[in-house]
Amino acid sequence: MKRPSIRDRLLAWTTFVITLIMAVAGTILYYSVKKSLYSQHDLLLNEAATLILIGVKARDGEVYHEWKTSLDSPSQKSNKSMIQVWDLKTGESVKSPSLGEENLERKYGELNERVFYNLTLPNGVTGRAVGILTHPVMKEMDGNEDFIPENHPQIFVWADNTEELRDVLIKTKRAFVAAGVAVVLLSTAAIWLIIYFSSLAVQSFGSDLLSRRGTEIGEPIPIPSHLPSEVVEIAKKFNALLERIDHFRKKDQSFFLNVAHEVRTPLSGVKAVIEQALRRPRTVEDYQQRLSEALDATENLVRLINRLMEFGKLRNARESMVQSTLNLEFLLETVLENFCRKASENGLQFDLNFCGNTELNTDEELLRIVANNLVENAVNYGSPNTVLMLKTSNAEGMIEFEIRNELSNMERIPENLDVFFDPFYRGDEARDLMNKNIGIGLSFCKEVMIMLGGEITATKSSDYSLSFTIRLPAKDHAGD
Amino acid sequence: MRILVLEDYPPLRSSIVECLTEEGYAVDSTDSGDEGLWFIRNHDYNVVLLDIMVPEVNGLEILKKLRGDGNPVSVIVISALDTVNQRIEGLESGADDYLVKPFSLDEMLARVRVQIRRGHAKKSPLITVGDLIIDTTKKSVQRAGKTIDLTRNEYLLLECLAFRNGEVLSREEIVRQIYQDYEGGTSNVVDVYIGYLRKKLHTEGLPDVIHTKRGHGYLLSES
Repeated sequence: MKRPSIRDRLLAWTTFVITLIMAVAGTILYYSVKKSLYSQHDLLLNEAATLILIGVKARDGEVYHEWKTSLDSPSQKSNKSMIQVWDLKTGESVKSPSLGEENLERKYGELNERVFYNLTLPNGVTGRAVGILTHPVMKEMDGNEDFIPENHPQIFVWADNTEELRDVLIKTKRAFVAAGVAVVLLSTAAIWLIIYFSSLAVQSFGSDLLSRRGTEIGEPIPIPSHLPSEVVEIAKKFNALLERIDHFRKKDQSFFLNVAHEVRTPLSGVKAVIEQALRRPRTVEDYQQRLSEALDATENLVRLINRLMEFGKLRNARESMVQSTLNLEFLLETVLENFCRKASENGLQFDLNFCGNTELNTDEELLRIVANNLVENAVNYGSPNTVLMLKTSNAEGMIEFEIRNELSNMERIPENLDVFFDPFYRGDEARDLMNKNIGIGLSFCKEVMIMLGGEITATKSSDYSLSFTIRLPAKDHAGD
Repeated sequence: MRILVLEDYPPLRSSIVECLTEEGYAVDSTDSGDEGLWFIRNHDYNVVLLDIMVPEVNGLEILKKLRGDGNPVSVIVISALDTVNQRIEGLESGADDYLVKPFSLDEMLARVRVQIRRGHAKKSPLITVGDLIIDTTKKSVQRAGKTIDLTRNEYLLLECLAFRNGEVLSREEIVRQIYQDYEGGTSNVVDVYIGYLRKKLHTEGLPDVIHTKRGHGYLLSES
């Protein structure tokens, strides 16, 4: 699939918009000029017509065309003025010599109203005319006592050749088109150059990115001073992303370092026991005892490796999560059944405080892992002969499960309880290792809770109790 | 030679202790940082094998406290923490050596011997007193070119005197350095073994190298 190019889009759209603006502006300007030229031409036409119009007179009780007499004189033979006057009463017309046998197209409006219009002149060229409905000019002394001008309406039409005007308009139009095209081309070229030079900085920045080595991933990208501000923002966001990647990379590195450390301790135990066994000949019983010690240490190692494998699988399990509706309290009851015996051996009593409304829509198996870990920790580390409190609640669309136990060694509980969720955190290294505590259970729980869209927190109280609480959206609020 | 092993993982701790004991060292051991610190402050050890991640007081904190007290005991850190920075941190906290887990017990013993020699300003594993040569690696003794067979306790006594040759060592000091379960008080066991040693070293008219300083103890010297 071809990816859209910002440069091409910018260039195409900018060119289109400039072309549109130039076309609209050019058209408006052209018609303004045209209107202005015609107005000026009409003004002259009107002035000339007004002058000639007084040559339509009443004399001796008849309409007399004085203007015709002046045009017929030899000195006016070359006059190209085209005038035609119609007498609406008789239907006859009088016209200037230049018209010959041809007639002008006539248009007129109200009395003395000037009607301007384009027409084709008898010689075939375009022209402009003014048509006026008028009455003959009358003087009393000319024997016109009985003449009533209103009874002799005249249509006066003066036409003029507009070829020159048309030529001027054509030239103007061409000039506008040429100017528009030039502006569009120059703008497009300028925009292309701007984009090209701007993208040089981006391309150079991209090359710098590609030339970075894998070991430099955690270091922020130096942002060159010439980088456009829009790209600077992207670069800053990219740096923020790199920082987050680096944070997780360091967490992973730390995790693997811890793995190496945790594997080495039982491994060194196995190695030392075997090496010591082989240092000199021994009795069969002695060998058996040493092999048994080595086996114990190996089992520690196997447990650790199995837990690490589960951890690794969990990190890839997001796609394989199975959502189902379940009752948290039913799930807790089945988990508690597995620890009844151990709790009884430790003198622990369960105090269940369930609210009865804990339906969830989540992955049952993953949630069971969390519940198992929390109950197992509470049973293993709770002070003997104390009460282990389990409480559920449903409030504001969130279901909570709290497990609280009393500890005898509260002074060893760190101030910052978040360390409980760090991989390989163990309050008491040697004893925990021998008690089969690998130190990644709570870290594992945290990862699971994040995957399930919930959270897990730890709190300690002054009454020597430590509690872990998980929160998940209730069934009807899942996905809120 | 007395050694303290501070290691929290029981199978490893017991193997180290057994190995060192079989080599003739007097060994104390603990899995607790607090207890380990108390041991070092209240006993004279030639070497301390110190794990870093131990309960209660971290190994590095123990080291810093010891060096802060001016305690010169040789400390070999034994740890699974193996990055360069972690090793540097261990050494800069006052460790004399750093051994990464899992390690070979033979390598551990070699490093212990180096620390013991260094503690007695001996660079070579061979200690020579006149015509007497003690190989601390092979645990063998020669006098005037002839190998002398010594029992384990005879050798340990001779080595103890040889490391501090020219110095008078009291009976109590010798017992504390050699015997595993020393509970204080005096004993004639040292005098008995000194007698055995003299018999084996002073044959064929060779001069005495073990001298008695009445009321003080014994010293090993050429004349």
